[in-house]
Amino acid sequence: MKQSFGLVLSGVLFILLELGLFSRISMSPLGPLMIYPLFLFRLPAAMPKGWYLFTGFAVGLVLDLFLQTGGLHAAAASAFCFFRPAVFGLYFTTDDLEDMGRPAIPRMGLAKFLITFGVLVLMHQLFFHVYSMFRIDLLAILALKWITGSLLSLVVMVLIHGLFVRR
Amino acid sequence: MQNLLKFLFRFRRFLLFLVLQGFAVFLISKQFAYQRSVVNDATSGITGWFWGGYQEAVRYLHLTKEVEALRRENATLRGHLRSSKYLEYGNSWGKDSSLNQAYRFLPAEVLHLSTRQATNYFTLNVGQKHGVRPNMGVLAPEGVVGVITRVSDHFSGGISLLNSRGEMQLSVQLRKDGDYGTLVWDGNNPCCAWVENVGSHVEVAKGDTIETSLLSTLFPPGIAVGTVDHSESLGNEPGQRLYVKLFTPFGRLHSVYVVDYLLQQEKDSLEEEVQGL
Repeated sequence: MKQSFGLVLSGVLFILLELGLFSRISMSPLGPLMIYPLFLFRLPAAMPKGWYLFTGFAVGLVLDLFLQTGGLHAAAASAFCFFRPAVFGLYFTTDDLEDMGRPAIPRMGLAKFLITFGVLVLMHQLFFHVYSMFRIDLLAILALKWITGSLLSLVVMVLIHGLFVRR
Repeated sequence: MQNLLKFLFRFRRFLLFLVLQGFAVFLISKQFAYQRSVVNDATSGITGWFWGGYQEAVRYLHLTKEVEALRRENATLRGHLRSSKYLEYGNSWGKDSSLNQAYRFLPAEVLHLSTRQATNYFTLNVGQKHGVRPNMGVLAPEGVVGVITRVSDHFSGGISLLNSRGEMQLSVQLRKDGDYGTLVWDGNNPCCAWVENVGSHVEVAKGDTIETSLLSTLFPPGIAVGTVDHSESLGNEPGQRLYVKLFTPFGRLHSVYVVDYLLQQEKDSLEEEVQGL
């Protein structure tokens, strides 16, 4: 119960931070800075996959409603949640995931954390930018936004994680 | 059904992901004009493709009926050809004459056809109940096939032009000048036959058309049978024979017409009377 309350609270906090602060930081033409993927990543590793997918979609949808971005965040967040079990499956067994609880650097190790989180952030940004541009004739611009947006968001989220997550 | 459920259950998470992505794209297209136009274009393309495929499938399923209708129509039209009618004169020569029906055609399908025997046979999907009788000719759209010899209620069988034992010899003529001959098959190549008993005075060139003659009432006169490939003289005997490439594709016959000569009975009884004299 306490853990669930903590999860909801951190979710609300991430959404408020995203809406109130990070979405206002202009990074044009690199797209918005996003930190909510860290919240999605930090949800319990052994969470049922279907519920995890729904949670991601719901979080994205809330952001879309406030930011008036249609379903861009919902699509990107659900992609993030869809691929997390597969990416985790490359490094961890089911038992590992149950023991892990909420994914974090101290529990995963820095290298595995950076690789798995980096891959998922890349997937998230790819879906976001593909849907926001919706054309394939501007591949160079898409690639630029995708790579730089991913790197910047990843750096910010790793810093937040390093500063505020202790276990 | 069970396999479908198993499939859906196995890929339920992926399907859920697709549904969520689809819903997100729907919301995006509602929000942004450019995305909306792209989605609309794609949707109309997909629905167009789907309906096109659907119409194609429906057309394909109805193709059998359409083919059947066309064959019936063809048979009727064949019956309207000048060669399928005879001229009936009135009391005064050349006056009050009228064209009456001499031949009518019944569409049929070939169920079996041999081409590699000395005498080759075929089976059709029409029989006595459809009005088929022995000694009726069988035509393909391309040319002559053979003659009906046996009839059951729903099927009929006969010998094809490809028989080398003389069971079917067809009277033919050269289209350009009407010289008669008899078409016989030598048992070798199902694509070719010989026209025997052609007078040596007849000038024949490669490509000349051979057609059915008035002497055979199995078929209307003027039905193309084949073209001359070359001619051979008979040595010491008078006359020549012509090697003919047949039009009828015996290897891939499917649709044919059974030919009903309406004056057959009258002709037969007259000939019997004449022979009895």
